Amino acid sequence: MKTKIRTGRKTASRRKNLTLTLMALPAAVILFLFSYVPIGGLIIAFKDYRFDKGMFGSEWVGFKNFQFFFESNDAWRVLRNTIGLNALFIAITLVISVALALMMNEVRSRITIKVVQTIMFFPYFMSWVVVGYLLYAYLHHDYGILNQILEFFGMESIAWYARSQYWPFILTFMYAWKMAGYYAVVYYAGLMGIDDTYYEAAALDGASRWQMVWKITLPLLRSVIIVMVILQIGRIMYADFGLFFNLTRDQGALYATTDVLDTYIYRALRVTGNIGISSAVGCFQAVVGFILITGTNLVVRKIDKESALF
Amino acid sequence: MKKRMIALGMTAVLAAGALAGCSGGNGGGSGDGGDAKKDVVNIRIHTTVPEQTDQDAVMEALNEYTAEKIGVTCDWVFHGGSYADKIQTIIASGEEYDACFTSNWLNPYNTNVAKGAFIDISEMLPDVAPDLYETIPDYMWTAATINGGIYAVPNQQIVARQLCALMPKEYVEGTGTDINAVKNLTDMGDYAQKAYDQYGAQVGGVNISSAADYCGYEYISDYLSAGVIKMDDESAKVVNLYETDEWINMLNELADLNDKGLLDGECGYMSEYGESQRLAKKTSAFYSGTYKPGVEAEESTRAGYDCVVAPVDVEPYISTNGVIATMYGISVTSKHPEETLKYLELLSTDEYAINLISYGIEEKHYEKIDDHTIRTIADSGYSHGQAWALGNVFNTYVLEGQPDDVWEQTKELNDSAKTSPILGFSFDPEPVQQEITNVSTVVKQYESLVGGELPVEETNAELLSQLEVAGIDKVIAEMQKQVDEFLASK
Amino acid sequence: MKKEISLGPKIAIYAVLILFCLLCVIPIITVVSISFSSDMEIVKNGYGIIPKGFTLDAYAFVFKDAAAILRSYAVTIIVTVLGLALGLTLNAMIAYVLSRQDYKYNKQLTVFLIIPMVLSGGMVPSYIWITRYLQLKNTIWVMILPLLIVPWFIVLLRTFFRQIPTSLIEAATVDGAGELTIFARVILPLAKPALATVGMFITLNYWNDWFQPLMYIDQRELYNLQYRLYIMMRDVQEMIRNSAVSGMGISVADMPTESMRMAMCVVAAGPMLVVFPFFQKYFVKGLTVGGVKG
Repeated sequence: MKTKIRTGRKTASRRKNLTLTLMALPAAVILFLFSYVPIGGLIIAFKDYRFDKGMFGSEWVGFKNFQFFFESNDAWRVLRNTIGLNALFIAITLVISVALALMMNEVRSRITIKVVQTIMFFPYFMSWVVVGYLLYAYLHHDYGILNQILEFFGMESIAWYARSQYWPFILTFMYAWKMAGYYAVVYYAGLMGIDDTYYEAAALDGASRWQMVWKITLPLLRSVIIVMVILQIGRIMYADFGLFFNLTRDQGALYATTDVLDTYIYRALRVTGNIGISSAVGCFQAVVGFILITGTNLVVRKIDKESALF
Repeated sequence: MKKRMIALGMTAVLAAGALAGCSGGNGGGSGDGGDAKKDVVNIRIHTTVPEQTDQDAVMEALNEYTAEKIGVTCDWVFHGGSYADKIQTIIASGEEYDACFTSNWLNPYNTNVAKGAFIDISEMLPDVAPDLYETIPDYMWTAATINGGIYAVPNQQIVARQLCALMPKEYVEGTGTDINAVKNLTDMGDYAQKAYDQYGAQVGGVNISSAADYCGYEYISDYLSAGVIKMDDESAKVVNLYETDEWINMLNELADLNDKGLLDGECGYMSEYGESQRLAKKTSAFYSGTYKPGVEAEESTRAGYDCVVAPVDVEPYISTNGVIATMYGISVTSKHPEETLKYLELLSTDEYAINLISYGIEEKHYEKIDDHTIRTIADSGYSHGQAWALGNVFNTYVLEGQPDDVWEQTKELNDSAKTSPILGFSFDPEPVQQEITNVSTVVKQYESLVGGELPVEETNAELLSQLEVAGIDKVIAEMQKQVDEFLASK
Repeated sequence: MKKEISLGPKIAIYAVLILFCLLCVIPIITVVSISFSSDMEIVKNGYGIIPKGFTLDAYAFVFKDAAAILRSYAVTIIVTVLGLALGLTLNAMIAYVLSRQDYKYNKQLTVFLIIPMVLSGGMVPSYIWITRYLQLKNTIWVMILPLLIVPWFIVLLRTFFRQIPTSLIEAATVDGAGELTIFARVILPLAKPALATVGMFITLNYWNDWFQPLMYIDQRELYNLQYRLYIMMRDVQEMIRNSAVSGMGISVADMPTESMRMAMCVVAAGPMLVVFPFFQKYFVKGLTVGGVKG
């Protein structure tokens, strides 16, 4: 399917490359300016940063800041929560959003599609701060709507903010609620790039809708899905601070299942005031993220070279 | 419609761009305040006061005054609620500025000094700002001292702390309770029951961050690091708050109230919830306030209903944390430290200046009721109520509703209160930063103990064993070590 | 034409979609309803779906300083429009370059784009760089430029661009078209859904941003909408929170805090819901990739 475009002339080829490079240049320069240059600041991770000595004057302490996190009692728990919950988020949201996109694809009425899309997207507009308050209205021990419903059915009300076992589900649910619509729109856009002729040909061959979804839609959507997933895996070490901090209201009783890397470091910073530590953790997240992205990409290359990121 | 908005916006932006161009990018530093008065130095101070609509007018008046008096004008940056987020980055980036608000609870003084954010002004004080040096009482300078150096100027206000319960006057009178007899949660038993029956209000309990105050202990750092000393312990023995009898007693009192259905436990550990319940008059009592003369009037205005207070059975106490609750540190990046110190002196000694910046312009933002009492004008465009964050409150006007001699009373309270045996000590967490982080995580996990829901004996035992695993012993030992060193050096 | 699906699955699909929509809509309705409720009622009886004690107090409070709010609307709109125009163009261009498998430096460019997605220097280095060296503090550009190039969007666009058959590109090249022409005349028209999607995301990105102004803007004239609302909320929260260190002369009770929070959410998100349908017309199918035989 992918063929090298042959122009047959070396100069044409060089000119093409030149033009393409020039086209990419503005964006690349801006990216360099705002994303690459500050990376130099990561040396803070290796220093005992003092305000009066600055980045270059502060003393070098090697991996001491990294040790801080790894030697902490909670390192394992925090890592497990971060990776575990993020993985759960990615998987569940993927299934739901693809399903939604596929369903939208089956709907004929354009009005319906537009309305559904708009509504599905609503949750994405709301900041975690506001969602946190809404969730509180549902889960509050005494006044919460959920507990009122439970009591109405004769069951006992639950102290939601004190029981950590419910929270992996609650958080996954909230994440999917907020993001499924967003991703559904992305996948739907992908669906629209699929040429109708494929479906027509399949219809002529007598294929059922179901078969069309399995044999045409999904495989062609695959490249979009895979790219999205790889990118999300690359960020699996980064927890959405807004989500974790606001939904749990920073309740210590829930730390067992909800304390993640970013919330942990936020607290450590407040207690120690040592920004070298947060820089070190950021460095760690980046390295792991990079390894994961390259790793998953390599795996994908083996299976389906074209869908790979690079 | 959109086109017009864009055109409007464009003009606004162009204007803004021009303004931005004029005032320059970052930092203050030398330069004039606008017109070329000879040698007027402009400084930049960051503070936690929220932005005011009319602040330009007030700033102009203030700058005019200060330029004449001491040849200094100031570019105040009012950060409001975003102060905490921004100041850390500003300081860490080494940006040029002259002074900023610091304290034990916001922009932590200890850590800033440890990381070299402020300059030592102890040498400068007697020469450059002798008035300042004299007016601020010795014990305040002592409290602000770290390792022999003074790194910030404290603002004078109430420093003696005494925890008190805030209660709606209506409920107290309606239930026929003698407020003077209510000294702790147990005394409240009757009142709590009646308030619940008559008004449906529950007791909010004790705010977790004030637990030590209730129990008669002083925090070495804060509630998250668990180390405390008993308030009247001259030998300053450091103990784990959560091991003490007083703490267990308090928990039992709370659990008791909860069993009777009289406690709204979450107020104690869900910060915003507690306050909003109290403001909504749903709590019959809540141990979260600090006693000071005039507090009743203040709280009544804030809450919109009459409040009365019931102080705990612990004497008013002056601890280092109480004193350093509001200060200004001079930055190491400042190009005009002496002028800045002079400016801070002005805010501490000059009545006109502090009133101007605290309350605005007469007639415009407030009206004078008599010589030193005022009434603020609603919606005037300048009303932040944070005089305590700016300078010497004792020089400010008395507000309508406060007792006439409120400042005299306050000073008296400050002078007569018991001072901490370790006044001036500040704990450096660096040697045990790992353990302290572990400990604070554990404490956070058990905060809900003040909710009265969990079985006291069992849960507290769990808390203690977890603390052990977290390294509490090392933390306490280090705290003791530093305290002993401090006492020895006095 | 696609075969019509049978009734059973159709009902199921509609049912699921309706259910999901309800899940999304109910919280929104709650937010709007709370914004119109009286704070006293909320505090007494909790949140509800129907406004209790209907009042415009919250909005009155939010719009108290109407001039400031309008100015911040203007700032946000300028930033968003500029950001969208520049951002979509630049991101799409570089995405097109990436979509060409025959581009000599394709792999290197991809890696160049991926790295910033996982690696970041942190707040302090960015702050130093932007304020001290680039001198962008208190300018409109500091709200636009750092958010302009988003690797995530570039990868997304690249993936969509790759869906377009190379035969079209070949044909255009044979016809003598340069890369820029191919990009503008061939790719862009065919990638409308993708462009609309990413355009929507870029718009949202700029519209919702409050972090750039928080860190880099001190001047009130340059505050954007989200930041202004953020300040309002923070200041109120500080007043509620700091009972022990609070000030005088201000009655927190007068502030409709609960409903105000929700009113701000409406004010902030509202316009976006109006803009959304504008992008939507490109989302809908009807695209024909016909015209050229493979």
